[in-house]
Amino acid sequence: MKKVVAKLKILVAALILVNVGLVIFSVFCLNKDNLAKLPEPEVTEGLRGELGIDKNINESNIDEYLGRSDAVYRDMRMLVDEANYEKIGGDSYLSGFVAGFEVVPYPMLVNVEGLPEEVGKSYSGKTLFTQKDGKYKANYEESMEFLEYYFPKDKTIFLMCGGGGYAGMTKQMLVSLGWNEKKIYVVGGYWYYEGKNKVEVKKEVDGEVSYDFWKVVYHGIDFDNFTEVKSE
Amino acid sequence: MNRTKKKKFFIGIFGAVFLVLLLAAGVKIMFFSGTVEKFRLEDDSYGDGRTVEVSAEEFEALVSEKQSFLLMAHMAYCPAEMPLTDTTELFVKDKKIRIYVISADEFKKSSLAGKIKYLPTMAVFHKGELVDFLDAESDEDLPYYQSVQGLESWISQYIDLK
Repeated sequence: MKKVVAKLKILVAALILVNVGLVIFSVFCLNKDNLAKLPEPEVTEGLRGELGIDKNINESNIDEYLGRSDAVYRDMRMLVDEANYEKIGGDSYLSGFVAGFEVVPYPMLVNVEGLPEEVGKSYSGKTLFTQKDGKYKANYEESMEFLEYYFPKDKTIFLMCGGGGYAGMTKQMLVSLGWNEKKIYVVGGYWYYEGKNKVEVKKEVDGEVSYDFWKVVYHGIDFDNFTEVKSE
Repeated sequence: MNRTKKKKFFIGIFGAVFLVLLLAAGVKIMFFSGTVEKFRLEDDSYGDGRTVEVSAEEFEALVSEKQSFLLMAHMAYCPAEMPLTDTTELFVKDKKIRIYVISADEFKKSSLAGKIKYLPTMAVFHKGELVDFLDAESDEDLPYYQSVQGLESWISQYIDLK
């Protein structure tokens, strides 16, 4: 009898240990989001480095980092850029994007300058901020709130555009306004992306070109709903 | 000379020739690799101080015709690409030579897309063969993008500009 009781005690103890182990395993090891540790942002070399494009997470491997619950993905292009990129062999239209990236047009966040003559000016309407000599001045009371909503400071932020320029400028602006540069990755340009998550927007049927902008999650800005900051 | 001695003699000769060739190859690799003799572009490139836009097809024709030329491929999806576009325009006007220009989309359709990963770039072709190009992801090449003098110093390593 005593032997049986002893064996039962051992069995119960073993069962408790197994259950505790399973609980610990499920809490710490099972991660539905598969949130692997991210490498630290590190700017690549050369001209691409001047744009702030990341060495460790860029167009060639962004697929490995999509769908994270601790991140947001932002494409900084206009749906249709007023700059005439066709003059220099480019495309002013957003012809495609990487699935998961939502569009927040950089030219509506801050004034864009320095385009070549033949391209002309980009969007020249209202902007959330005005940039001069590296400093950003809010034009609306809601400007910072807008940025904090679409680029939450407690999340990792992945930025893309057509070639990398707007994405790099966005990081520059966010860091200047107080964001942590170690949480922002300039992934680069959609033009270089050859991964499995392309969403084609441009369509050509019988020589006619059209754009399925309905596929794009687009966050334009209705400035009529914002309160202008009174100039001093 | 008996047969054994003859054998040894010929082995010795071949061995000596082989050693000389090996030495010559070593000297070439150590002292002369990476150096390219300067060459001239096609005659009609000189005096023609402008950029000429080409399609992928037209580019391939230049290659198959074994022409010597300069080609700039620009990245037009990006406002920050501009340094090479502007410096190229100033360079062709100053040196009065022709540089071909290909857009990013046409570049992707061309045979260059497998050889050059990042744009913008300037590529040098000698008799249809790619000699060198500027790498947009290289710190070493960055100064060549950023000024007309930088671009000239790179191009003049390969091309006789006169």
